Amino acid sequence: VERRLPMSNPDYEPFYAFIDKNDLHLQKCSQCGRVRFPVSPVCYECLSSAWEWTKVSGRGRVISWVVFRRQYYDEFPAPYTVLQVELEDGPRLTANLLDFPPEDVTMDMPVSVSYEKLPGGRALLQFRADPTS
Amino acid sequence: MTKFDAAIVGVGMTDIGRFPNRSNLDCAAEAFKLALDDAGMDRSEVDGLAINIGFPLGVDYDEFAVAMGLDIKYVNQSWSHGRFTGTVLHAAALAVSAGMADCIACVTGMGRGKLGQVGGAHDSEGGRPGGGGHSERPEYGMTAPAGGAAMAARRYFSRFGASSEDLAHVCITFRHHASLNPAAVRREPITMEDHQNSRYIVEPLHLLDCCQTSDGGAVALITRTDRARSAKKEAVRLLSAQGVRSGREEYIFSTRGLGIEQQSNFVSGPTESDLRAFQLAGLRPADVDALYTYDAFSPLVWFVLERFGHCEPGEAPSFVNSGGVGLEGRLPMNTNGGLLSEGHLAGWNHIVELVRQFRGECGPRQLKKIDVAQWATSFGDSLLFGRLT
Repeated sequence: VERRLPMSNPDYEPFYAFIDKNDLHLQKCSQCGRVRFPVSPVCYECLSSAWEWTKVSGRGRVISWVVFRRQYYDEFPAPYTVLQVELEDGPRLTANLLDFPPEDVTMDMPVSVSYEKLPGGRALLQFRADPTS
Repeated sequence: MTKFDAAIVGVGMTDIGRFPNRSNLDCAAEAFKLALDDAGMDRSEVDGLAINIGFPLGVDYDEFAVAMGLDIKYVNQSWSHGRFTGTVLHAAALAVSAGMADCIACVTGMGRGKLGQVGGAHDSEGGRPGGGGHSERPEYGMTAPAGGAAMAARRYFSRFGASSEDLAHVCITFRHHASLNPAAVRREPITMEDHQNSRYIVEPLHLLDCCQTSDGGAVALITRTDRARSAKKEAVRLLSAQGVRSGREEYIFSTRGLGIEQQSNFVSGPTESDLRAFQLAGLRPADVDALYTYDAFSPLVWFVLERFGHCEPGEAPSFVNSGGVGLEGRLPMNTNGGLLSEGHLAGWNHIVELVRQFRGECGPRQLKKIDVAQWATSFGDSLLFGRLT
């Protein structure tokens, strides 16, 4: 079954282009230095429209998670885990936790970014448990 | 000081359930006629329409006006989400207060039951770039409002040591209320075992933590208070209101400070802003005799209790577990059974119940005392209601 890609728009295209190259970059405000997410044309701190894409470590910790037990999509057989991760660099991201039993997830568990290969040279940002932390 | 000069003068509601053979317009029409009769008013007096749930989930203002033979001079139709129930109601109240209209019908005719599963491949709104309005991320299988509510519940559990068994008490209490309400979709009492044995939808939320998606209609008629005094039955005054909150510190299914999405992570009681409606009305949380909330999922009840100063942070579960929100409790909530058990007319069924409670029309679930009632949600809006004096 075909996996769906994230919905994009001109603001998000560079973000997803980095992910396709297995790279995680976030916007960093050129005026105040704030690293931000979600992707936005302006800095929420100072409203500056100037930013650069900055590479972040992709390491973080689980701040909450859910386990889908009901199946909603053909391509997602239940159960599967969706978590929110607080990155070392501040922002929180949502993704799945790959190759890890849902019942063993714990709060504050260290995770690091991983990339799931999708057809057409695309990739999806994901997380894996990080045993090195 | 409040600028509101408005009251609910009449309410009407259809049966709630699954009605595959009834259109949303048909449900709205029945509720409208019931509300007119309840208020003792003729449709010629209705010159405004306020709609919360439009197509494809509900009836739009234009088709309703045409079908009912109305001549409308004021319209407000919101984003078709239950988060705007209170907003649509207080906007209508402001509009009549300002003389923009004399009688506004807040009309809901909706068919959530007809549309089937909430979330999944057919949910286009959830595919908004960057995530949907309830944290949907279809590329990760994160879909349906239940996903976002479960995310907040898990974090609350962890922070305050609460559990799914605690959530069960919310569901059991509201089901008891529904058992006393002939209009409710689910009336059979439930136990802790029923709750814990019901299947997980999005863990940690079980099936019984999720509301009853329904079809039906509900209408509330709003006028200025001078007109309300000559209504057929007792009218219920809107004392004050505050709107839905939004920003990085807000997450639709939580209190502030829970640390979901981009919220900060801190523990605090209500802010001054959370208590704004109380301040405008010269009231305190302790003055509220009944609280109505958008209980699409059981944890939202805790968030509301804590956000609006009815419980200290982390204490909502023990308050609910000890009967605090029951009919005999310190703060009865969702006496109709709520979205969890009466059914889901986007909370307009709660507004109907609130009015009927003021009038003493609620039979075995009638509250002994109700002089101040509150509609408040985890989205941050709050409306205070009282008697016309």
